[in-house]
Amino acid sequence: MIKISHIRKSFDGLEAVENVSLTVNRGSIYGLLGSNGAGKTTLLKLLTGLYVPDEGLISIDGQPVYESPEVKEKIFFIQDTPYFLPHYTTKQMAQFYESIYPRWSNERFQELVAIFQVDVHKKIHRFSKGIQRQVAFILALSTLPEVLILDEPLDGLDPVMRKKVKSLMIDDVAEREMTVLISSHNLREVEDLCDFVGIMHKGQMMIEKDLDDLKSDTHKVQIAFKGGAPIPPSILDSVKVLHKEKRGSILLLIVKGKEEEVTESIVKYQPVIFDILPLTLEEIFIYEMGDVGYAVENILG
Amino acid sequence: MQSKIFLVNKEIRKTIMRSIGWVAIVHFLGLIFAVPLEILMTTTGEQRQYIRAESLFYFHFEIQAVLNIGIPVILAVFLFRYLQVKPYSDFMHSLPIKRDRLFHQYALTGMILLILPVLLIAIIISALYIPLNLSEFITWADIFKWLGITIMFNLLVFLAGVFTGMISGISAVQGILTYIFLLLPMGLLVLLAYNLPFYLYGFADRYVMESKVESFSPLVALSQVDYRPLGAIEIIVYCLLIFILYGVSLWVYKNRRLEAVTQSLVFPLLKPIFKYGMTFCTMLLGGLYFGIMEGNTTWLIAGYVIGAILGYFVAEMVLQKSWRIIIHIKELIIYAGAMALLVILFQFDFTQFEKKVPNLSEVERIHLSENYFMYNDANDPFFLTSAENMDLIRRLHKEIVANKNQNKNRVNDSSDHAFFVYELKNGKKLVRDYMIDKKEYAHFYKLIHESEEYKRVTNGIFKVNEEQIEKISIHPYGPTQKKAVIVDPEDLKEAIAVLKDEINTATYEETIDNRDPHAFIEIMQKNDKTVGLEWRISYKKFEEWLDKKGLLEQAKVTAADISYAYIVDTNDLQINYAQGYSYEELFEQMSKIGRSIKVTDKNRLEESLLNASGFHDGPYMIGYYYKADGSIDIKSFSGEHIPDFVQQYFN
Repeated sequence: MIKISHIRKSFDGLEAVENVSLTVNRGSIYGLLGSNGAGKTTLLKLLTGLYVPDEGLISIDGQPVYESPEVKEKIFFIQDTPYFLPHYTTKQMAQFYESIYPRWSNERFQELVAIFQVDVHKKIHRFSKGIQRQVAFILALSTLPEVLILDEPLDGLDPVMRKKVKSLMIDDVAEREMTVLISSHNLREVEDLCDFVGIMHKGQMMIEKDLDDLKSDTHKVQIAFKGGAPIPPSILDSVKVLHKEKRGSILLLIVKGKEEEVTESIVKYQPVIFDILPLTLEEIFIYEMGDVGYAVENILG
Repeated sequence: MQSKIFLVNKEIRKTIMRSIGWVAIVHFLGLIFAVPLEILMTTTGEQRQYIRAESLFYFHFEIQAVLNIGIPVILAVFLFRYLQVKPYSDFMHSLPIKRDRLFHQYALTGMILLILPVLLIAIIISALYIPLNLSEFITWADIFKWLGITIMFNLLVFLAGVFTGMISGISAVQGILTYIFLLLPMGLLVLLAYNLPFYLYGFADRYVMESKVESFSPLVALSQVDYRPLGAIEIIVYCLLIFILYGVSLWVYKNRRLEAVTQSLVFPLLKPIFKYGMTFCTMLLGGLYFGIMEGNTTWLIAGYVIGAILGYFVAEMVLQKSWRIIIHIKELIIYAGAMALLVILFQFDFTQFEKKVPNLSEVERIHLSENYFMYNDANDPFFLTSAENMDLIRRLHKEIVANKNQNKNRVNDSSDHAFFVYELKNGKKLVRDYMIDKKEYAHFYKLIHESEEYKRVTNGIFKVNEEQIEKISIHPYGPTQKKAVIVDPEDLKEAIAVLKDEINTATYEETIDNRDPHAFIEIMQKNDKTVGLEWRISYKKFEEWLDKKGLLEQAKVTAADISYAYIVDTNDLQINYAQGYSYEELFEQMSKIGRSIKVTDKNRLEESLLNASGFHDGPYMIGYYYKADGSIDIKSFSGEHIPDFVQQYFN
């Protein structure tokens, strides 16, 4: 379990991460979203023990990460541009990791090499960016990490590869209860993968949600009453309204709650028109976050 | 679970070898070329007879020095690339390895790679030792000394490079800082030594400069190791530094923040130190260049201003990593204010440096002479310990300090140095050096120099054991082959007694008489040690004694040795003091000048010989033509020693 509580980190007086707390449960996939400069990479580097927070605590399975090999050998971090030792082949990198990560599995390595069909005897820096990323995945997954931390991992991969990588990760999560923390600047890229999403903006965590809950609990409701009669105000009290808008005689509401409960409490008022519709994830986030929602719209669409 | 990572990780070692193995190979090839190959080439050919090796540093020392200075820094820079490249740094530090383990493995592998080539070369030389009969030039101990010293310098420079690597986040800055770091202690000392006399009256700059400043910079020390052997203290200090730098580097590394990679200096605290340190050093350098070269206060201040601004700009450029920098005028103004305050504090002598004259009760012994080398370079410098003399010296010192402004204003080419060294009872030393006009302090000097003690400690003759004397030879001053020798034991005793008496009764004025002595006396002892002294003009009793012994004719130049002489006004001569001049040409000139005296008269020649001085600074010059082989000698007359007939002729 990853636990980050109230951490702060500033560079030369500029706050990169401000009072962020976050918990990722074992076996879940957490998507860390945010536009460029939101502080995602800094947060990931704090989590992998590269940076020391100015304030706050970071622990994985209850132990601090910084300068702690016991914890670090359970984690694998793939940087936004994967890094390999100069002039190393995939095979040599594999040997390198094997000597350092005690859980390294050669079997898994061979398996993954076969899946991605990578020439292990070729120097990695000669590969294209996309293949380098695949190599990084092969190596990362071969260390059988308990926690996999990925910084913008899907950039530069074609859709087929994306799918392959995603399904491999999901397999590991399902089989070994691997925990994944993945950063991205695009919600769509990760919405089918993550079960938890956090959105960062200007160093702060704006919102943290369980995606399944979110999808089933937020609805768009359209109601109208006979002859454009005014809406009984008590309607608005009976459900949790995130947003309301009047279009002619039709009232549009974004509400939270179980579908049946929402239906039940509105039908009581006998509207002429009553529709309850699902929302796209982007819409949910925008409505949930209110004003700042528009500021981060670009990462949602 | 037991961690799989031990101190030495095979794969990390491979990585290190792959990235810096080439440095060790270049080092090895360079050394092969510089030493064993050179030995092989020179000792097997005709050149063998010309080899003057005192150590293995004799062979291609320039190449050895370049390797010793360059290789360790290149190694440190390439070895710790992983600290200076951001993705590399993030990669290495996300591995489950503690920083101290990484450091130990990298630094120790680097050290082994430095030592190995040197060791291999030593083995190769040892293998050549017997076949090439190298014992003619060097001993086995020389090989070990070479090995030890080379390894020591390599490790020291390497660890300096490692240390700067830890505090800096750019490889180029790491390399440059390493050299600055290694030169700084000596550089700062030199700069301060040249600048301090402006602020601390009596600061003995030349003494400080001569006191082994080289050893304050390992770089300078190593580039001179072929002719300036290292002292035991230097070796101990350098070896200690190796350990200290290793420990400090590790500590700094553990506290290094990875986000500062690609910044010139990783620790924010170091930035102002670097900036103002650089400004201060270049300020002193500017002062040295403009102030001391030009020798006046205006240029000195201009030098300071130019130097400080330049240094500040360069430091900012390094820190901001661009030549288009933002200047903080405020910082410069604050700096200028601080410096002005410092100068003002010096004016008020806040350290009490200038006024400080030790109390008699604190002083063990005192050296007072005209030059630091009488103290520094002499095997056995003299000291005064009697209460009267020490008190006189203190009073002299106080008077010089009291007349500070007067002395400063009168400094000219003929000023004398008054060099004081007080050795205190607590083991400390107080050293001062002043430029004074000795004539103004003659009353002190007369008392000191005429004291029995001063004469005893400054004249070697008082240390001579009469039983040990082999012979005394007296060499006349001048281009003549004449020489008087005393060997009879009785005569030897008498001569020594007369000379001691002459020295003891000589007045201060007689001892500073600048007329050339009659002769130079060498007292040769059975232990091969020779004591020399001058037969001064004032030593009349010795002259009588020589006459009595029939040695006078051989002991000095007399009128009989001279055919004739020309005396001219110095202004009539064209003497090129800068480029040098030959006596023959000068004599030729003298013979052609109309307004000259040609002296042939015996008495006048004697009078001339007695009064002339070898310093060519008097108003009249005399050129002697020697009978024996036609050699020429040129001297001059000055002050009260101008013979009457010369004075009359030219007036």
